[in-house]
Amino acid sequence: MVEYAVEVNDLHVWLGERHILQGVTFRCPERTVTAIMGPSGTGKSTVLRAINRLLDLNPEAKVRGRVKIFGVDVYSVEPYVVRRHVGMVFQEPNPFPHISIYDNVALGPKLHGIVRSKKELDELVKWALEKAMLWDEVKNRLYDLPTKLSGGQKQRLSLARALALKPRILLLDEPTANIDPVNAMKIEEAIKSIVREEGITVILVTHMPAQAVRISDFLVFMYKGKVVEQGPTRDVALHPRSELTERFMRGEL
Amino acid sequence: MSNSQILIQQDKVYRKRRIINYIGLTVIVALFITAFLPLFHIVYVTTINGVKAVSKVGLLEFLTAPPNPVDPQNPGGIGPALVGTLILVVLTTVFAVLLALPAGVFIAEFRYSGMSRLTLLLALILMEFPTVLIGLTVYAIFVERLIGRYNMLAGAIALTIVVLPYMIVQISEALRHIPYNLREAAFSIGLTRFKTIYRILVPVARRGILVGVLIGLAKAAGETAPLLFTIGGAYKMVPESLLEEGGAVPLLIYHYIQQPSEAYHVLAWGAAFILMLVVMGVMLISRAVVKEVKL
Ligand SMILES: Nc1ncnc2c1ncn2[C@@H]1O[C@H](COP(=O)(O)OP(=O)(O)O)[C@@H](O)[C@H]1O
Ligand SMILES: [Mg+2]
Repeated sequence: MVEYAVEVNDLHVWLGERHILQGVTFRCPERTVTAIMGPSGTGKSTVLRAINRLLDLNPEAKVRGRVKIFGVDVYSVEPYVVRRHVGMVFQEPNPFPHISIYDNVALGPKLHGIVRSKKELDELVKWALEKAMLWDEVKNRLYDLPTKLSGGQKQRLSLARALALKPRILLLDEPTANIDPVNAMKIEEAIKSIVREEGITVILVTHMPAQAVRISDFLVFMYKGKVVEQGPTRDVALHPRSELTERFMRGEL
Repeated sequence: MSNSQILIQQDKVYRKRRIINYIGLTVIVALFITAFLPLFHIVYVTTINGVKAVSKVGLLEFLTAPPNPVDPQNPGGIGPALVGTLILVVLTTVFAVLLALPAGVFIAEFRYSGMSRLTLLLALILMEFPTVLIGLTVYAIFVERLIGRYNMLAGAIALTIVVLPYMIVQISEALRHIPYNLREAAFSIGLTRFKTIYRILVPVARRGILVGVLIGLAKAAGETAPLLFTIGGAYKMVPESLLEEGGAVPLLIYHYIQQPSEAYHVLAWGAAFILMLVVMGVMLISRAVVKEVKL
């Protein structure tokens, strides 16, 4: 039996009266990158927020269907437990502005009691910042506020913050949409190495077909709350079966 | 129409607009001055009279000595009343923060619940409530029924009720202005609602929260009506316990300015001046001290 890191089965989401997700189904094998693509407003971010239960924050949201991580229904356990094992990076870089770069990364492990000593914490912070390809740039100012970092650096700090909890699954919501190409490349490098070396399973929402081709193993193409087409990235990207997918790949949607 | 005609015609239109502009600007400046004139006047008159009064005995003497209005040559100071105000302000601030912080957090962070909306509504109603009624109610309960005499604790309770809604609204506003994506960031690393609030949201909003506390503090220092029937008005000595009668600077002003002798008026003006300095000073200093969190 294949163990899936994430299984989304007939997922429906309503926000208020609006039926945002209308039966979304896909699976992510462990240690793979699944890219979710589709025009904006299609519900990609909503899929991610359903997986780590951030939708719980919105009292208007209703969820139906099933989301499993490693075989466990996320809606049958405490949301805090789910989020502790499922990291997320958002489209807007959002480091905590009132605590230092170090503390941004260290807060999660500290509050969850993951480390036993200051030394262990230091090592974990260094590891996470290295994995996010930010260590060299901040190692001399770990105790500064993140306010002065560039947008791309802030985004890599957000990634390090998520990694510091040693998540098994990482949700990335258009992490390179608002940052410059150099930083975007660094983040892509980081994602690849995270999957290869740490065995983390990644779901990457992206609007760039080229990015999906570069780093994903599987591709899920969504349109208006539904999955139009999915499969191995090469197949979907090179030989799309649906006209919608083809038009999106050509940049027409 | 030729091009030059068009230009000339448009120039006329623009001239007219410019004149209208000037008139509008003049009206705005005039309104601004009218609105702020009373403020400048109050500051001016209080300063002139206050400095005269304080310099009669010297600043230190005025701040520490008890009043001695029977001697116009040496009318003393407002020491005990100032201590009274200090006691009331500290007590009120502690009480009010303990109540307003959870209430403000509740309003901002559970804004979809009916209870939270009701809390906000009650705060807004309380804000408009005549403070003299608050004083009267506290008198009926804490002075008449429970303790049997005027006392400082009753004053602090009345002041707490008066400043509470201001603090609540200000604190909830400060929290409400935090961008949604910071909340999401906190929840995304598995923080509970409680930890998100006290580790992330409250510290990020600390400046707005502090401003709310200061507004309350300044109000507590300056309010008269809630003290009228609660602390009595003993200006010559500092109360030995919170359950005893005491004085406060605004109440001293209120009582002394009504007395028919010059020495009382001197003390009242001096007290008004000190009150103004304290309130303005608190505002300015703490605004400068607590740094805003840059997002
Ligand atoms: N809090 C919300 N309340 C109501 N509708 C929302 C909310 N957030 C997003 N939506 C709507 O849900 C739809 C899907 O949004 P989203 O998942 O962000 O799309 P995508 O990430 O694909 O751009 C959009 O039409 C958006 O307008
Ligand atoms: Mg989105």
